Amino acid sequence: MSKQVSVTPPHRSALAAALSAAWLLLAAPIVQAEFILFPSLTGTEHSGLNPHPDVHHPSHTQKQSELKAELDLFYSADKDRLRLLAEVLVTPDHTSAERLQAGWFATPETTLWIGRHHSPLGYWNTQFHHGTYLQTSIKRPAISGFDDHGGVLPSHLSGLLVEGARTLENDAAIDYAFSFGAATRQTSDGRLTAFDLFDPHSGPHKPGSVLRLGYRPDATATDVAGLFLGYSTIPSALSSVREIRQTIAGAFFNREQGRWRWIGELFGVRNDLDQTTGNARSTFVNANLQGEHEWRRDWTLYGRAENTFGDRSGAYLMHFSGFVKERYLLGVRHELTRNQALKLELSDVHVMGDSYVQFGLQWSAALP
Amino acid sequence: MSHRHLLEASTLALLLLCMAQTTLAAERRMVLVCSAQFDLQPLSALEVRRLFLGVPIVKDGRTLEPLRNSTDPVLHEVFLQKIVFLSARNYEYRLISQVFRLGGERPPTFTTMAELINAVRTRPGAVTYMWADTALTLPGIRIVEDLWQGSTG
Repeated sequence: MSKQVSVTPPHRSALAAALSAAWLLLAAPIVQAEFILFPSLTGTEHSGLNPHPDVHHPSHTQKQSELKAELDLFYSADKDRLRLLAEVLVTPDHTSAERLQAGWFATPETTLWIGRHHSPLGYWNTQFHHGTYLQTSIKRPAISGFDDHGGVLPSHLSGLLVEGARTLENDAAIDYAFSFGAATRQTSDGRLTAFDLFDPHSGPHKPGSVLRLGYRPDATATDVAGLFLGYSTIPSALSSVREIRQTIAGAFFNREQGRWRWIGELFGVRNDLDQTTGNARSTFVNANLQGEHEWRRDWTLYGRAENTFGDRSGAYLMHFSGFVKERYLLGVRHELTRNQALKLELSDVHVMGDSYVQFGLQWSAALP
Repeated sequence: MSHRHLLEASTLALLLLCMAQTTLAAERRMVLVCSAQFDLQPLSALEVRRLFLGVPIVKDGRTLEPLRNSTDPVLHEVFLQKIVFLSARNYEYRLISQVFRLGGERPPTFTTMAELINAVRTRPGAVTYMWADTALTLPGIRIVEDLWQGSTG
């Protein structure tokens, strides 16, 4: 993953810190609050990597080896029918407000949110996001990559989110989520970047929306299967592209049975590019399937396959040279304690014009 | 002591030992309790499970607040196996995962009975679980329903 150098002006960091402190102070009288830390330390080593840097997209150049430290701070507080949620990601290079939401309970199981939130595309984006400890593997599927870190889809929206669940008479449940708000924009080096609440005039953003529905056969279990549909307009700062209209449709599932777990996603993505040389269309399908087996107490073996199909024109993905088009990985996770995990992972990775083997080792936790 | 007397004494001792073990493995009842001021009607098994998995349950216009009782390891194990059907680690993982996605908070855990009872009495909508024989001795606490009955030996 490319190293992201912070471009946060000093006043933005101070504003973020001040708002965070004010948030916590205001929350002090509130009886019910939750504060969870998700720290992680990840070392990766690449073998067979093309030594020539990506001169067109310097920020996409992969490093031979990398040590990455992250701290994801999660805070939530309830007061009567109001709910506040904040998630701040801190790395040595960058601090960002990943989520900043205010919610109102329309019903006990339906919440109306306003603010920056996770786009309800697929399963991985909302289930795990920056909570690294929560996911079994080190790496998440490339299609669910974070928009600010080389991802090809908008993983954040800022605006309105309606989400909830409805229990059916047979004790099953329907989960639903509808999101509408400012989507991502594309920077001059091709990266997607989400709307910044603390710097709303940093660039043009146009609306995006996502609808997701899921069915759980048992309302108290985690098995789920669902569909999602999204559309967004992405203004581009590339010299050759003015705007991208992106349509996404897909399906997902999570199935846990005994000592086995299966997670799958299928994405169909159509990009209509308004280019200076004329319009172009880029369509591709991406699928990923991860299997996990609790081999012994505190030990889980896992493997994942992901691949991208179609995209004959390459008009869209060509701007994301670091995007992993194909990957096969195997790994093992060990629960060090009740809330700490150690993961070891080996991947065969294929990006545009290159392929390499990646070895990863990660410590992660959820505290307290 | 003659052989006959020795045999009779041994048999009696063995019988007494079996009776003692039976007594130790006597049936116990785990019950759901709330404040005596709260007229909460019994919940379904699904509602109890959902409540302690972090899903909001509203009864008579009041949102129930589940409190986890960690004062007795055996009670806690029965709760995990018979109410939420999860191991301790998987239960904690489910709660953290739910909170991370949707916000809210994990059901608070109490390790001393005095603090737990005080919370049940003072927090609106608070419910918890405990042994029936304990609940019957506590003033200001009302048994809502039986959650489980069985041998803990």
